Amino acid sequence: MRKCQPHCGQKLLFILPALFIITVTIYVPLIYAFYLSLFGGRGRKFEYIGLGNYKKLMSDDMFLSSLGNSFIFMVIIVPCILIFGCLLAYCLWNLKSSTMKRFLSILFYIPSVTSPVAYSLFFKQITYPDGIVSSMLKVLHILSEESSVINNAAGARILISAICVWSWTGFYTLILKAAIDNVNESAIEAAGIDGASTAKIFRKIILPNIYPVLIMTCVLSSCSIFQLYTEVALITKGGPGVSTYTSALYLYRKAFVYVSEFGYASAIGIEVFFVQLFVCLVMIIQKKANRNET
Amino acid sequence: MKHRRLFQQSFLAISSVFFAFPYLLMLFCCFSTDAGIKGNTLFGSLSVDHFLSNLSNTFRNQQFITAFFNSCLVSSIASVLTLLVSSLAAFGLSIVRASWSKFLLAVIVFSLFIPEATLVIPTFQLAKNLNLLNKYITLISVSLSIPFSTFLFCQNRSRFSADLIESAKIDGASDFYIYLWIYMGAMRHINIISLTISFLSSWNAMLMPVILVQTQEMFTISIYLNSISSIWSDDYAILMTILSLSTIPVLSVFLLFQKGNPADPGYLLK
Repeated sequence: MRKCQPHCGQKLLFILPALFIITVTIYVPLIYAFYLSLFGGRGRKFEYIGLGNYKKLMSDDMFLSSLGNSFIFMVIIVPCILIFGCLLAYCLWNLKSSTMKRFLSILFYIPSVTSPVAYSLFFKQITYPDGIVSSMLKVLHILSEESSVINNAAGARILISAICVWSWTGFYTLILKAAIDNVNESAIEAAGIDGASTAKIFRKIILPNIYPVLIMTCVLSSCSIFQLYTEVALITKGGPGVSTYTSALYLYRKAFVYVSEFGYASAIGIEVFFVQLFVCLVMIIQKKANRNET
Repeated sequence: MKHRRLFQQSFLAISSVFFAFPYLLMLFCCFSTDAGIKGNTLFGSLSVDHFLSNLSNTFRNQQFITAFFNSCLVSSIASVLTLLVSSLAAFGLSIVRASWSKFLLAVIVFSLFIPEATLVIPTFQLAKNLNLLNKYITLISVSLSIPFSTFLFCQNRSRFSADLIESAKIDGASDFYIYLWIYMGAMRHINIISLTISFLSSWNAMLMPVILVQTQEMFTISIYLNSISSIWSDDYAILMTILSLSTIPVLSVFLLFQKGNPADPGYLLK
């Protein structure tokens, strides 16, 4: 230990800038959020109320329905991404031409790198009453003359889910494809020679092997759903009613749109943090259980 | 067998239409006029003249130009800074004692799990109290993606072997010399990936910049788009042109990186 003394401090200097920036931009605000969440009051008035904000949250209908909406989105979006992503990844993996493979991977990935603000605005424009999609649906008599895609709860939820599936699936497809690439190819070939059908090979050989990646996909996409903000803020503004409200949107409104309640909004932020932490813990436990089994 | 392949290929074809459709529609809208889009005669009204007039209208919009410039500035500085700081940190982590390096890496990686929404309020309050609202330095510091980048460098530690350090040390090289000339060279692929990811994430950042910037001269492209989303309803064609233009830098950075690096785009994610 003593031997390392003269150099250790010098070596830690390399890490110092990163630690400093992370502390200032992430850890200090996190602790400050805990601190703020203990204060109540509106506007400039601040008073210490201990855990009062958290108690209030538990009986706040808006907050509970925003959590409920996140769960609804989770139930729609996560299976869609899993199924769609798996199918795409499998088909991509099966493709012979490598140029085509590359081209399609890039094409599928592009929505993930596009700015959420830009595509949300685009989808908002085309689904508004005089937008392209709404007019097309009216021509096909799927929608009635006065309505639009987003002024009924089911339509708005489906639209937001569809946009999320569109923008996120590419990312998960590539992760899943990388996982399928790692599956032992000779096992698949052997099964093929033994006469197993594609569906059976997929179910019995590929799926068990990519199981950890599937769980990771579930967890990552669920985390993103709890943080969903840009899409709902720009397209539906949480409406109609509260049918697409999410926690992040509620937090933003509580702090910056209505009479500001920074303490209460921080408490919402902390709740989001714990929900996400809980989801991640579930993933880690699952992974460990899985490792023990094998 | 043949049916299966046909099925797979048509599935891929339909999916690519699904993924590309919004972009195509956006492009078509740029070549049309407001009346054409609203009147459901999009494909009848396509012409290059319309595109040019939309383009010139867009570039006459001073706010858009300012926002575009700000975004370029903030994203470039943020991505270069991210690269420098995180590669230094990752190099540091690979040469300090193992117990230290494990602990520090855990501290860095844990910060990845903290959602942005949690940090919005306290960051705003801190910036307000320190008089840092509407400043480039604030915008840049919240656009850094150091934790992820450091993690990426550490994940690919195997590209840089301990023998290299040893032999350089014997030759009398200092730690900083090793970092600059050996580590950065061995990690050049990761450098490109780190630059790309941090550029993309800071270009696309929305929630943080929106609360930290209130004056129009400081708007980034995301904030600008957010601000026109509530007031703009006049001209679809110009809006679509603005959207397309704001997407171009991100796409070009992404595709440029694709060209330079033979690895699969999935590599971005590991």
